[in-house]
Amino acid sequence: MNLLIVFKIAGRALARNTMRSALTMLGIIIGVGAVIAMVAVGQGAKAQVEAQIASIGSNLLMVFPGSTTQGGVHAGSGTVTTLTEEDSRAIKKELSSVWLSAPTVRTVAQVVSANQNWSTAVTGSTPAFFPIRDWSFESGSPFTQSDVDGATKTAVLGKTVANNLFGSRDPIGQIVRIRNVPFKVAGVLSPKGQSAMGQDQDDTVIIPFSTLQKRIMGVTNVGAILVSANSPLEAAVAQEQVRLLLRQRHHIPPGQDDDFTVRSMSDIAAAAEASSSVMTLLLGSIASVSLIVGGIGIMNIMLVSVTERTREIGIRMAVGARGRDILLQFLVEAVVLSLAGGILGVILGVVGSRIVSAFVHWPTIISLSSILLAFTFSIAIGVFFGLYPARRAASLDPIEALRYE
Amino acid sequence: MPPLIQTENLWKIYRTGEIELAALKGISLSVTRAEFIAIMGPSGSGKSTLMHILGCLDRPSRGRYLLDGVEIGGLKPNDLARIRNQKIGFVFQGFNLLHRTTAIENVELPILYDGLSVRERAARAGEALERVGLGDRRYHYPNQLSGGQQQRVAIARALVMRPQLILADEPTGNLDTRTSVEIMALFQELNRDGITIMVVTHEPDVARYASRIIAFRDGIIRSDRPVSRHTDAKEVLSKGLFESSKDARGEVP
Repeated sequence: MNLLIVFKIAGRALARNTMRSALTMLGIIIGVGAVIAMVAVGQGAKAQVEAQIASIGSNLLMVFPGSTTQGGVHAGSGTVTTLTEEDSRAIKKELSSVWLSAPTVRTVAQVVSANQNWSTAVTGSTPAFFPIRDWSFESGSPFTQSDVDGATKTAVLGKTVANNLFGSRDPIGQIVRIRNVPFKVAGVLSPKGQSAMGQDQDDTVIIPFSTLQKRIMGVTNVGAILVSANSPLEAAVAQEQVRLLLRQRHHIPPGQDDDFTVRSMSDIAAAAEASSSVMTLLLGSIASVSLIVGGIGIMNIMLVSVTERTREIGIRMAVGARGRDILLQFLVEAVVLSLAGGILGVILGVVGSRIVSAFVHWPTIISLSSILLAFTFSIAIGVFFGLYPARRAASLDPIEALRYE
Repeated sequence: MPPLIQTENLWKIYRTGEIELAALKGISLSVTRAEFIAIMGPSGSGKSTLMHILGCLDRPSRGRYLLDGVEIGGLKPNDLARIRNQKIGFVFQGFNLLHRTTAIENVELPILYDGLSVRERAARAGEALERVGLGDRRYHYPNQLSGGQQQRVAIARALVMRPQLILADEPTGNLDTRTSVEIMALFQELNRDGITIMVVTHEPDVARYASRIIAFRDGIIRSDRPVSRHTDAKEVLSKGLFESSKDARGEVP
């Protein structure tokens, strides 16, 4: 039998029971719509994380003191003080794959202007910090190497800090006090927004490394070393070179664990990406459950339909329909139901994602692959759940079917 | 040329648990082409069972059945479906039309399972409807047609594949006397064109239009005789003779 005719017959049979067909389709519509919308939310979150990580710089390496495992005991990074400013200098000087290197040390401090105060993270570093973080200036300029060498009281403010302390006034040349030490503001950084972890990256003050060490904290150790590879492609090479150099400088014999940790942004990106992939998968599979429930709805209705149309099946068999003709007819009916539901579901999913974006302000990305997947899946569901009722129809005895009232 | 239908010692036994019921007990029958046979008998006499087997809807438990020289017993369901499609037309008491489906589409139904082209299908179905006198009712739905017209659509459907055999199971059971005679006139006309017709009926008034009457009782053929002076339905209609038959006797039509 011509497949086009089969589709025509199926379409007409479904049109006779408009309400029933629509309700049956609703299960698939909601299922497909949910899969597409949920995956769009997941993908959107993933893309956002990726974009934020890219904004930090994919050629960035971070060296933390202390190993993740020391003699079998898990020590948190930063609990030991094994890194020095000399290490940072050596990394820059000796490694061909490294473009810049900057030691950093951090603390949280109260920053006070003439009439405002603000608690923020204060980072001490060298001028190389700014290009490493790819951070430009909104106004003013960075402090210089001679500021670092002379431990001058010069500060660069993040945009959030500048706003909170000075409002609309120009902070350049003004004095801020950090733990009661007066600093002259040299520059204001351009805003970077939230980090991948949800922190406000602009809520910060950067001062010369030596000034923070000596005048504010009274320490000599380095909190972390930021290293920038020549290019994202060289990041992995740089990561290994930094590790070997520091092992050598720290006189670590072979077989013993590192007393520091080198992390690349791609490591962090991979971790973040993995977690958002898990989220996408989770959302998608919850939505798929509703798709399966929709499929069961189709099976239910098809079984009812086969029973109702037993006599029709008998007539068709009497005039020469073979078992497979009947099978095909009911199978196609189930597939048409799920296919139409799939198409409407794609529309619902796309519209739903837009609504989520517009009202909840979550980023959503509708990928073609999720549409194709949901679509294919809905057809597969039609075939799977339509097969049993269709087989039942095809295996009817023509005489019994003709007698059926 | 072999006879159209040849059965030898045909048995049909139904088994329900321990109980065996023989609906047919060794039927041997031979039907030549272009015969018009009425099969009579009380209900439960096995006439419907025989029709189902002759119509390839069912298979005998024992015995041989040759249709147009082909042994039916060994065929698979798909082959039987093919034979029903190509060689046999069915007409039922309850018309058995697909409701909410136009007359022409009902007639087209058997052609769908033969794979003829769209144009050929429409032409053949139209032709069959013309033949039963319903050329102007193509797009009517069954519920817009009278009982007689519905049965004509069913006959057109039985005709459309140009079968050799039409099996009619109580075709006039739901019709009034005048319409019954009209339907029998149509069968006679088709029979004159060479189609073999077998009508199951329990009304002697209907059986008299056939050329041979086979009477059944308890699964065996009780009598098988030619009709000596068979009645022309057209003549009955033109003379209005049907008035004196079952309506006059006060039977429910």
